[in-house]
Formats: sequence, C-alpha cells, structure tokens
Amino acid sequence: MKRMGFLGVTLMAALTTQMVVPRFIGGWGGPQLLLLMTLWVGWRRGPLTGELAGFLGGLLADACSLAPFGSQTALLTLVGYIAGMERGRLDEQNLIAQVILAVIVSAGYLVGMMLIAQVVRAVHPHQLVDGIWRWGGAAWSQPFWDGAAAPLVFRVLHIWEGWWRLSDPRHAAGYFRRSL
Amino acid sequence: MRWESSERRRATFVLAILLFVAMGLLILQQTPSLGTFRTWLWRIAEPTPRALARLPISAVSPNGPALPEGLGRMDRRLLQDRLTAVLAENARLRQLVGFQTHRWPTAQLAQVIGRDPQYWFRSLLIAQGAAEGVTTDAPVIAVEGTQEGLAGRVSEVAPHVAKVLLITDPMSAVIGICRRLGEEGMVVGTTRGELEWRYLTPETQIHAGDLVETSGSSDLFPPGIPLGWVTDVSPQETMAGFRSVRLRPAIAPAHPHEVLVLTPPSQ
Repeated sequence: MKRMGFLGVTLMAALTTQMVVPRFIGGWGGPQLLLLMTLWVGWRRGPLTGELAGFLGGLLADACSLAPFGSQTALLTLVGYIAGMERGRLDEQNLIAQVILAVIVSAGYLVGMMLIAQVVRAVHPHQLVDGIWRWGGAAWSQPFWDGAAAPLVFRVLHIWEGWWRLSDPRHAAGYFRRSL
Repeated sequence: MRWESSERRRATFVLAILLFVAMGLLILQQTPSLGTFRTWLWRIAEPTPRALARLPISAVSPNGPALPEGLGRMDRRLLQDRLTAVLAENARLRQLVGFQTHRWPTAQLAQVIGRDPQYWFRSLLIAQGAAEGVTTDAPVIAVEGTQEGLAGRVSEVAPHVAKVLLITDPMSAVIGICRRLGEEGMVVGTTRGELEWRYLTPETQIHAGDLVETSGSSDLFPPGIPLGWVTDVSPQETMAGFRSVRLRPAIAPAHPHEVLVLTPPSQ
C-alpha cells in the first residue's frame, strides 16, 4: 500500500509540475518529468513496476494533452519496461549513465511520438521529417533537456523515496544476497 | 539468476497486455465511450492545477500597506516582490474587466492554470469548464495592455477545466481578412509557433505592418478580432498558384495569465 501511495503521489506531482511550471517560466521547452520519473521507477524497481507506472502516468498525461489518446500511454509503458530491464546492468548511481540513458530514451520517445502522429493523423512523410527539425525547438531539444535534468530529478526522487521510508528495492528483490 | 528471469518474463507478458490496451485506445479514440473515460481521467488530473491557481491573494490598494517594523531584510524583499506581483495582477484584471464590459459583455473571464504537458502542442488549460458555461469551439481572447488578440478556441471541455488550442498551433486554422485590401485568406499556425496567412492572390499588394483580423465568414469567430500583423512580404512558397505571408501574432499566446472566453456567434 505504501508503495502504491508513493507511486500515485509522485506521479501526480510530476504531471502537475509539468503542466503548471511552464506557465511561470515561459517558453515551450523543458524536461519531461513524467518520462524521467518513469525511467527512475523502472530503473530502481524493475520492469513490472516501471511499466505500470508508465501506463498510469501516460493515461493521465493523455487525458490532459492534445496528443493522440493512448500515445503517451504506449510510449511511457515502454520507457518503464526498458528502464527496468536495465536494472542491474547499469549503475543507477553513475551520473554519466543517468544522462546517457535519459538522452537515449528521450530521443526514442521523440521518434515514437512522430511515428504515432504519422500513423494516427496520416501526416505526410515529408512533414514528419520537417517537423523533427523545425518543430519550434521544443521537439529536437527535448533529449537535451531530459539529459540535463536527469541527475537532479533522480536525486530528488531518491530523497523523496527516503522520506517515505521505502526499503531499498535491491534488498527486497534479493539482489545482494543472490549476487554474492 | 532465476528470480530475475522469471520477473522479466512476467514483465514482458504484462507489457504485451498494456501495449495492446494502449493501441486499442489509439484506434478507438474518437468513440463516445472513450471520450467519457477520458473525461473521468481528467477529473483525477485537473484538481491540483486548479487548486494551485486559486491560491488566495489578498487585494492590495495601489499605495500598499505599510510594512511591519522589525522585519528582516529577506522578509522585506519577499513581501515587496509579492506586492509587485499582486499590483501587476490587479492592473491586468482591471484592463480585462474593462474590455469585458465595453467590448465583450457576455464573455467569461478565465484564469490560465497550465499548459499541455506535452510541450510540442500549443494549448492552454483554463479554470472554467462546462459547469461555468464554457462550450467547445468558443473563441478565446487575450489582452496585453490595450491590445486584444485572438488566442485560440476551446478544443475540449471538462466539468471545471477547458483546453484552449492556440492559433499558433499547426492544427489551428482561422479565416483572416485585411480590411485595407479586402483580401481573405487562411491563417494557420506553423511548427515554429508563428502564423502564416495562406491562399492569397499573387497580385495582392500586401505591406509589412498590415493588420489581419477575423473575417466573420465562419460561424466560430466574430469579425474584427486582431490575429496579427504582416511581417514578411518576400515571395513565399506558393501552393497551387496562391501566395502566403508570415504574420506576427497580435498577442503572444504563451504569456496570458487570464483570458476572455466568448460565446460562439452560432449560439
């Protein structure tokens, strides 16, 4: 129950921050907090928790967005799954690993959104390519925003998890015991 | 490790199910039942930004209250900043109410509480919804100083929140007219967040600085609302023999804190 509550509150906080903060700082770019949160949850808690967090976060984001309904749901689910599969393979405390993973996942998310936009809205192919390079700076700059913000966001989430007094998931999964 | 491989297999199986559901949502997104489901999801997501937008701010007279004695330097600085923000909000609201009273007496004042969480779509969230009488396709106007301009139209409505599609979004299209020339064309948003006025006759004598406003030809927008000014009259790409020029929006759609929601002319 505590883990569910932690996930729910964190998810709502990430979505609300992503909607409300740009109103004050202006511009149309910024880190995708929902994506980074899903990445962190998957990386930390495994593929099952990651994909569920991505699915629920994506549903809420799709409800609040003009994006095709289901697009962010599908993509964030994949993000959570992929991050969870990397658990144990990449050191989650390594800053460089955090930045690289965030940039790669964000770039994949961007490509995924473009493909979904083409399939769902039947966007002409040349507009698709044109959109990648000319979409007001908000699209092509997204991986850089996410990569730059990832270490800070992960650190904040780590501290936030500590406030909830949640156990280290690696102990719960028997990671240490079985890896020795 | 066996426990890990079984967890991964289970996760892969669940992934297939979740992706199947997500694909179903994508395919069925225009159906009424999914619209109801989406509205219910929005009821979960909307209260927090709406609550944040309604944080109480006490009215302050132009002269301001005397700051209490004994405050530290930081406290005085914070109070001064807050006072400045409140005075600016007062000034904006006075201008909006003035426009509302004289120009749009049936309009509703709505506070902007957020933006589309997907940064690529140019839309706003406002704290007025169906319960307050907002309807889909209602025109939305923003005011900056003494200048008004069309911000967009309401694209989706929930009980207490509505989404506004801005005119700078590529999905937006408005029929615009230049009164000086009598020329009508389609004003669309671009991927760069600018406006383009399309389907003009090649012989049109357009000048930089010409004002383009809503023509009233459609049922959606009343006539005479400024859309933007012509900025670039150099030859643009022509489509099927028509000309297009770039416009600077009358109002920077990214900036409004409050907007006016009109009743659609067809209603």
